[in-house]
Amino acid sequence: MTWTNLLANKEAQRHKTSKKELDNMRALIARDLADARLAGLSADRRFATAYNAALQAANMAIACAGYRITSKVGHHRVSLESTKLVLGKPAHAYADYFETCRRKRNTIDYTFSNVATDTEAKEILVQASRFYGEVEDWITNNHPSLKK
Amino acid sequence: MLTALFPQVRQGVLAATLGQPDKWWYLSELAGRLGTSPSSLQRELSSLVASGILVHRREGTRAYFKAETQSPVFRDLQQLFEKTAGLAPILEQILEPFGNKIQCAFIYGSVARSREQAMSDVDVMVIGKAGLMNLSPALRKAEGRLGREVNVTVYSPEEFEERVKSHDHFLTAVLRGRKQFVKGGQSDLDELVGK
Repeated sequence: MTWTNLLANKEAQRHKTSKKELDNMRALIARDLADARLAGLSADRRFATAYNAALQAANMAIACAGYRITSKVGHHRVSLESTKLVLGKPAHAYADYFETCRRKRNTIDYTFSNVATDTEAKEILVQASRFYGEVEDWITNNHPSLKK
Repeated sequence: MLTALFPQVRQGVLAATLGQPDKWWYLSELAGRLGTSPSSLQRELSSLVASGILVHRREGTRAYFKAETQSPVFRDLQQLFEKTAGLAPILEQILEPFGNKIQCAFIYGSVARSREQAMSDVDVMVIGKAGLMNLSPALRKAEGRLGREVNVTVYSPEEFEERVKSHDHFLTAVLRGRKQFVKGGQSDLDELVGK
């Protein structure tokens, strides 16, 4: 996967982001990470909400790199995979992990209930928070004008 | 799918030998793996050796068997079994490095019941401290070798015990159904729920 291929296949578009756009995404991530901690929610809902925070963190990194993933079938998978292009080696383990989570989240949202275990919901909250932290660190180091 | 092609015992022999092609299987070891007696394997083994699919050697009174990797059909047969009955050996291999972080793991659902279609997803339950984050890279590799998706459900030992004791609907159904263990066995599962 390269940006050239993604652009040619219309899976990505060139995009110039702004501090305002990123701050809106930060607010969305903060909301989702907070909601994913709510003990009263089902493990499914906590899992899906933390997944959404991770996806938005991926989209923040992609936006800072100058792209936006086109909204069409499979765009979550493309967003997660594209973080490898933006963040490099440190993102590989996260991309594999969130790809596993993406499939589980699809089952949760569209097919079955009681899919995520409490163990999995707690783990994705920890990993989504760490991943978001890594994205913020990367923005600070590479795009200081867009930092938090 | 394999049931339409091979009788049950031959499937088991081929899945074990083609799944670990460098391993020499002692007759009773192979029988133990397949849950049958050594005498019931003799005819199948002789036939597979005669056709050049397995090779045989003797050490004293012991007979050993392994896949004939020089056979012109070896790779084709291995790929067929990797994509169907070879699931368990591949999953055993990928979970093995996690050691004690996984107390028990098994395949369940249509694959475990031998009712899967060629492209059925593989459902795996993992009980232990190895999270999805650690398991995911290994799962991607397994999916590449198997040509199908592997869906894993992870429980900590504490959550597993609690859910079983509260008669969780999903877990009760899974535990009643057929399972193919890839780490541990029924006794480990019983121990986890305090039986």
